[in-house]
Amino acid sequence: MKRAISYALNAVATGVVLGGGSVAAQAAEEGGAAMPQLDFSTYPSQLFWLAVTFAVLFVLMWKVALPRVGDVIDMRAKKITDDLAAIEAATQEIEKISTEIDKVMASARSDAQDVLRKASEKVAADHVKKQDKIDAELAAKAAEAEANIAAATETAIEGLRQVAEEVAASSVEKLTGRPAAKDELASALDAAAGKGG
Amino acid sequence: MAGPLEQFVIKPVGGGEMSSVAFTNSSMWMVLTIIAVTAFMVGGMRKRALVPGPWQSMAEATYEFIGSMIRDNVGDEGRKFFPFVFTLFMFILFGNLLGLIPYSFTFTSHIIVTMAMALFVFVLVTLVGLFKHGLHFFSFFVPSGAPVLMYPLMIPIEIISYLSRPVSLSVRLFANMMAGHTMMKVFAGFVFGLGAATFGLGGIAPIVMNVLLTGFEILVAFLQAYVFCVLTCLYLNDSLHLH
Repeated sequence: MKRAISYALNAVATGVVLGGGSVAAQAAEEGGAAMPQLDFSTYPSQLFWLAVTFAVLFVLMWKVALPRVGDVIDMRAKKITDDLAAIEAATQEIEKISTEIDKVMASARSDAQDVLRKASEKVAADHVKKQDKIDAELAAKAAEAEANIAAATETAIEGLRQVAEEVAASSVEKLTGRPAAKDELASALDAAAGKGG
Repeated sequence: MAGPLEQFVIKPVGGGEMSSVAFTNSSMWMVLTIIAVTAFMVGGMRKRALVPGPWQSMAEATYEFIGSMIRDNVGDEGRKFFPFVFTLFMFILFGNLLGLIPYSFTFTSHIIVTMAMALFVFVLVTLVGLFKHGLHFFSFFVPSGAPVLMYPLMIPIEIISYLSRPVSLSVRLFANMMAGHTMMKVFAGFVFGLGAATFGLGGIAPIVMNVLLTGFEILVAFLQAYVFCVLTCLYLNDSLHLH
């Protein structure tokens, strides 16, 4: 490919030379002047200055200009590779962090469920305890009430016996005309209460 | 009016005698060329910007251009010749381009200059081949795959073609530059000749022609610098890798 191009360039260049050459020859004949290119007296000076300027330019390019361009191009290439590496590192970091987040979230979720379960268990246990306490209180109150009732009943029965004794004594007095014997009366009341009770 | 070849006359700057170290118009434009090349490269890179401006882009583009030319044509071994080929390219290119400025001088239009550069390349390339391959380098002149019977014919042809490299390399550049500048001068002369005969109207055509030629010469300036360097690379490649 490169060879083909350079051959093509050669062909173009040769065409230019041939076209221009005839003009130059014609001009030389008309002017009658020889080609200045063939003036050998100028050769040493041309060669000397060519060597000097070319050597100076070579050193300037080699030591000054080209390293600067190379440095900048290398710097740019390094910057690009560094940036790409930084992107790679950041991507890995993101991945690591996101897995960490997932892990933390999972453990937090299980912790939360634990707490929730414990709380509901505690609530249930408290409920049972309170229920028991209330039951005990109610039972105590019921027992007290029953005792009160029993006492009241007894008092009432005792009152009744007194009333019955008085009623019986007065009835006996009215019927017999004499006061009733106290012990007879009491045993008769006891027998009646025992029958009734 | 000056003849078309007078633009190629070499004379010491500020008069004086010609001597072997005389500072001539040719020398002056060589010095201006290396100043321009250095200013172009160093000036373009003065900011060393990560994102280059237009000037830095041009400086980097020439660097990459010659770099890829060597990579494509010579390979990795050509890397150490990069400064030389780069200098060669910039010296010829800027010499050609500065020579297009009116009243300037084109040092590449002199056969002795181009011949010196071509011979330097030729000697360099030959020495590179000899150092790399020793006497095996001469197998370069033995055509591969040709029947042995043809060797007496082929080997001299190969040698002649090898020896003619500096001639073609130097004449191509010199003749192109000289022809182009002569042609421009001839057409410039027509402006007066035709113009005087036709009350100025006839002068328009040669002026138009010269404008076109100037554009063409800018192309030639680039092309010849490129050709010179591509051929240098190809010769280097031959020396480094033989066939």
